[in-house]
Formats: sequence, C-alpha cells, structure tokens
Amino acid sequence: MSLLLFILLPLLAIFLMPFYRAYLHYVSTVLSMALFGLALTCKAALPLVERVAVDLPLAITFELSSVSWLLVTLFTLSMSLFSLYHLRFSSNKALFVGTNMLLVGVIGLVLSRDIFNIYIFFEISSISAYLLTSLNQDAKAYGGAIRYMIIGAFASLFFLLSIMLIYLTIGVLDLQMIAQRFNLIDEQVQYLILLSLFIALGIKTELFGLNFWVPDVYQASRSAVSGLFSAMLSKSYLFLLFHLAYLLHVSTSQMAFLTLVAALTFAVAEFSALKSRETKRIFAFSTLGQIGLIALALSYGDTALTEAALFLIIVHALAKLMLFLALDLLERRLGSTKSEIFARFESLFLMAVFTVGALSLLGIPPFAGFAAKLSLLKGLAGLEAYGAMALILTVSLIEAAYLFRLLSGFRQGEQKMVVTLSPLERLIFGVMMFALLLLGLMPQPLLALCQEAAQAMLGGYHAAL
Amino acid sequence: MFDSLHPLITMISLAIFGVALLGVLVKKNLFKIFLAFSVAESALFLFFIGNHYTPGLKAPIAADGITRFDPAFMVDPLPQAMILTTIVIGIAVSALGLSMVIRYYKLTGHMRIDKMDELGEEQ
Repeated sequence: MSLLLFILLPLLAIFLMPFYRAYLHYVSTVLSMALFGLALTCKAALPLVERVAVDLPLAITFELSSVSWLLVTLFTLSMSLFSLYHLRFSSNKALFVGTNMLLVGVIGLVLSRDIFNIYIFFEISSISAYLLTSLNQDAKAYGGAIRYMIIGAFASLFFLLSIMLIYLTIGVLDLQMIAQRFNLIDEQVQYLILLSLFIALGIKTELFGLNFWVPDVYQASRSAVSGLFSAMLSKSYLFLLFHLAYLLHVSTSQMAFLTLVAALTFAVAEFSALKSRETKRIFAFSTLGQIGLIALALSYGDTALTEAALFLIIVHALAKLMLFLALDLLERRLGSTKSEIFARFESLFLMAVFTVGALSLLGIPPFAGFAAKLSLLKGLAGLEAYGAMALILTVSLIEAAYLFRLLSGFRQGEQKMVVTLSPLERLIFGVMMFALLLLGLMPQPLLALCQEAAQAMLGGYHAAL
Repeated sequence: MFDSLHPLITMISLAIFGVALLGVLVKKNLFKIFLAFSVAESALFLFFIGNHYTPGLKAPIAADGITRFDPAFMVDPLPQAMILTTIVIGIAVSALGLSMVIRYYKLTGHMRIDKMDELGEEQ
C-alpha cells in the first residue's frame, strides 16, 4: 500500500471535479471514508516508509509511524463526519476544494520526513484554510481571511528562513539527517533556527502572544469549518512543533520556555472565553485553551504525559467537531451564533449534544475528557509538577463557569423554535456522543495506541538529553 | 574579491528583509502589507540563492556542456529548485490575498487594516 494515496486521491478528486460537479458532496464523503478505511488497514504494517523519486539526500520521504498513523486516522475520521454532515446540502465547489486541500495539507504535514516537503504542505493547508475562512463571501468572512493570511504569511516567512538556514549549515533536508547533524552546527545558528521555527509554528499552533487573531478567524468562518480547523489544522501544527522539538533535541531550558508559553495560552484563552458572549468565539477560545493544555503536557517530553496529550488531542478533536457541527446546525436555523440562541431553540437531542460535548471538554465522568485529564494529572503527579496540576484544576473551574453559563441558556426563554434533526444528523451526532461516552468508560484500548504513538514520537529524546 | 561576496549578499538581503518586515508592521494599507510580504520573501530568495552561488561554476541546466550532475562544474541545483517552487507558492498566496483585498474593498469601501471592524459588537 502506497502512502502517496493519502495525498494523491484527494488531489485527483479535485482535478476531476468538472466530471461530477453536481455530486461533489457525495464524492467527498466516499473519498474521506475510503481514506479512513485505508488508514485503518495500514495499522498492521507500521512503520511504513516510502521514498519518492531519487535517493537520499534529495529524496522525498513519507513515513507512517504509530503517531502519524493515529493523526491520519483522526483527520480522515473528522473529514468523514464533516462530509456526512454536509450530505444534505447542495454541491459546493469552494467547500469541496478547500476541505480536500486541507485534508491533503494536514496529512502531508504529519507524513513528511523532509523539511521542504513540510513547507509545501504547510502552504497547502494554509491556502485552503484562507479559502475556507472566506466561504461566506461577506465582509466578515473576507476580513477574517485577510487577517489569517497576514499572520499566516508571517509564519510562512519564518518557516522558510529556518529551512534556508538549515540547508545552508547542514546541507540536507531529510529530518533524520538534520537531527543527526544539528548539534554539530554553530550554537548561535542553532538558536536562530529554533527561534524561527518557534515563531512559525507557534503562530500556526495558535500559542499565546503569537496568534492574536484566532478567535476572529473562527468567528468569521462557518461554524462547521471552524470545527475542521479545531479538529485537524491546529492539531497537525501542534504535532509538527513538538515532533521537530523532540527530533532536534531541544534543551530542557528551551522546553521549559515552551511549558511557560503553553501554560499562558491555556490560562489566558480560558479567561478570555469567560467574558465573550458569542458562542463561536467562546468555542474558539476553548480550542486555544485546550491547545495550551496539550502543549503543556507535550512540553515535558515525558512518555506518560505525551500519551495523555495524544489521547486529549483525539478526544478534544471529536468533542469540538461535534460542538461546532451542532452550532452550524443552529446557525443555519436561527441565523445567529450569539449565546442567547441557547434560549431560543427546543430540541432535546441537540441539548444532549451540547451537554455531552461541554461535559467532555470539562473532564466530567463518564465522558472521554475525564479519562484524558485524569491521565494528564497522573502524569504530572509522577513528575511532581504540582504547579501545573494546580493551574489545570484552577483554570478548569473557569472553563466550567463559561460552559455551564452557555448550557444554562436551555432553561431560559419562553417562545422557543422547535429544531428537528434529520435521521442522518441524529446518526452523526449519536455516533460522536457514543464515541465520547465509550472512550470515557473504556479508555484503555485507545490509551494503549497512544502509548505506542508517544514512544514513536519521543524517539531518542530522553537518551539525547 | 569573492571571499566577501557571501557576507555582502547576506547583509543586503537581510537588510531588505528587515525593511520589508517593518513595512508589514507599520503600513496600514492592506495592499502595501501584501507588497511588503512579497519583498520580504524576495529578500529571502536572494539570501539563499546568493549564498549558494559560486563564481566560475555553471548554472545547473542541462545545456552549455553540462550533461551530468557534477558539483565540481555546476552550482548546487537543489536551492534553485526550492526557490522556483517557493516563487510559485508565493505568487499563489499573493494572488489569493490581493483578490480578497479587492473583494473586501468592494464590500466595505476601504482597505485599511486599522479600520477592519466588521465583527463589530459581536465580539
């Protein structure tokens, strides 16, 4: 089985678009489900390495390790759910191109083992994200897309600068070869490369102090698209940031700096969510907060914490995609995403969806978020990182305050609009709720996969330190 | 003379890069901001290609007597291929950005970053 299929099939589907212009939503669904199936079949053959074109050091190499497999499976699953949700809407060219390009970009980011190839997929995912942000074609959408492009272009420049410095000093582009020779180059150049990579990927990962327009971008995008950004885009960059950090064996003091930035992201984002009254913006801040939390866990470079972080990545992606899709449904029916809409609709099923999603984010048993936060706290306790534990517990209270405030809207209002869901919508949301419950009750199988992935991700990081 | 070539190229290109970044930060007109990004990107191209240029070696093109890959006679072809790819990506991003600026201008009547308040009180 060729890993190139994950890249080529969506691209081919885009190029052949004129032949099935009226059936794009069906093609997208079949394609993403086929890729999800393909990802599942790859599990038995891990790790898979594929070299394209020529030999090293010029070869383009793709690698499907335990960790990239976990992420590719998550991305194709998220895309399948997104496409299934869009089945009842009419065929949309821009949405088809944007989402499939985004899928190519994020899969390429986690599969590539070549820094320049990563740059190509970095740009592919960025361009598709700009396109998807502007889908509504109004001033708000274009304003959000332009802001996103400006901050994205900044990230792109610094990523390019780091690649150039790497090639000028090391002379190769293959990640493994870079990792082997990185410590041999001048220390000041090392710092410059790491700083450029931190700026580029910190902006893309949406870390505090680097990307201040994220909530605006989420707010300007369609709710369902924001769900894709939260489930796929931010997760792929987060993986890339720490994958490179572990590969280049960054020092403990540099990792401590990342811990600080991650903790700030977590705290500031959750506090900001508290004062917002716009649901999409609240979910955007919540995403930022969770990214901070995941980055905090990854910054310790510890196997148990990396395992917990990977588990949280999956659980958060599922919960946030579900919440954003449910919000999209409400936005289409009620024409708004202000928090007051929770008092304006009547649907027991949708209320259950929002409640399950919020409880999972908070880490309330028996939902998956609880298992994720519990393993994270256990990992921190193992390292005696009591400050981080206190921060997580304190900030979780703030998270509870704004999420319960949102949910309390259900009890308010008198003249409510009855919102009915189609059988397919009930099936999609039902499957997602069931998955969050099942992963909460029986987290062990997924935790075992995350443990394997964590070991693959950390590689020889500890030994090198 | 050639010993000072690479430091000179580095200084000039990084100076242009710095000025362009300053342009991104201080300019309010969206068109000028995207223009500044293009200049910054070009400065990086100059830095990279310039540092891989060695006087006396030929361009890595299968012509002018070059028939095989031999680093003794030609400059490293990889940076050139990388920059060509990056130029294409840069043009695509600039075109997309400017088309969005035009659409935004048609909808709002301005293209100033400090006046972008279309989210209004929704925040």
